[in-house]
Amino acid sequence: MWNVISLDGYFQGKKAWDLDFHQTVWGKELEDYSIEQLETADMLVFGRNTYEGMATYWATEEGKVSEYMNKVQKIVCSTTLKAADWNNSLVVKDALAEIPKLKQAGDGNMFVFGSGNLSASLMKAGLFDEYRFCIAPVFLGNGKRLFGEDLPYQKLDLLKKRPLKTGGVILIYAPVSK
Amino acid sequence: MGNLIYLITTSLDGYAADENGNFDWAVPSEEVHAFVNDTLRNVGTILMGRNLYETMKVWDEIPTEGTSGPMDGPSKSMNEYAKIWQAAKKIVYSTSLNDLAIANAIIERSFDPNTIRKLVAESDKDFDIGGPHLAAEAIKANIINEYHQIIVPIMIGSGNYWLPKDVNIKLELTDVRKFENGFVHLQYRQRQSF
Repeated sequence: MWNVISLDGYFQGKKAWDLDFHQTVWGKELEDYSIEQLETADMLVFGRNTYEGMATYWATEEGKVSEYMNKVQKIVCSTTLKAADWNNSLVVKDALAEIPKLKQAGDGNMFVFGSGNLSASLMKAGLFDEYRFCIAPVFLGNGKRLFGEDLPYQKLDLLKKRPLKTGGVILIYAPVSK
Repeated sequence: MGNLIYLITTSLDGYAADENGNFDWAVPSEEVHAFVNDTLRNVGTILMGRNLYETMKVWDEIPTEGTSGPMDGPSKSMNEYAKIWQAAKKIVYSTSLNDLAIANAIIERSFDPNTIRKLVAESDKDFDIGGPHLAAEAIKANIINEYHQIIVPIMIGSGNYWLPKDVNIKLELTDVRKFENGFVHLQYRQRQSF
């Protein structure tokens, strides 16, 4: 998992795609980190909302991040979506059944970006091997929380902490296997 | 001028305690506790709600000297914290309590942010505010100068969240550190917007 969240735990504001707070941490360091991550990825996994927003956004963007985003294999988890037009996309209906298989199939990292509802299901099913996020130095006050209610009790190992010059903090955790 | 400090230990998903008030998972190591003591060294007044008072009142009884191992008596960091606690003035905010079982303490019926802001500004010493419920009043009024979140590497799923809703504040990151036991300290400072 990779997400930018506010210090009070929101990954987006009140409305869908309300991500203005990303500006508080975005910069050269985070861009370089994003590219580094994408270079290790062989698949990106999205829920429908995030997929649609990303597809629209990256279709017209330029630069290295955009190049990777457009090129890499994308999986969109949706029970309703018929077609996925963004380059190199695959629709998966039963995420919990299919994601472990896809994970086995590839040899790179599989990332879930944004995709709050999907992330919640994957967290509950214990399918993440790493939680990576950047905490932005801001309280949003409302919106959608990344770690919603009723997640299972889970001990973690801290793998990495890295402060950014912008005031963001990257933290990486792995679940302690039961 | 003193600082108003909100220091709290939470799970990665932001809870100070679970729904039953349990926070066994948040017990600090000697290293973390020593760090907390350093952060609170200049505290002259501790502000707390009734729940936190009930949890903390034991510190009146913990000796400030006489160190033995953490298992069979107060550790060095516990001695140190007992010193900070016992020397500080305590204000307990409660609508129901009439008596306190601790020394050097008073009861207030309601929290007035303006009064506290003035007291902090006029003091050489820092003020520590504790318990998410009381701290929420100070956060909403944006009178907290320093936020310290100590993140325990665990997710607990539900409980008492460390911050209130509907507050939109930008902060400045002033410290990040990692402890041997995997706890992480994040420190932020209120931004001067005037």
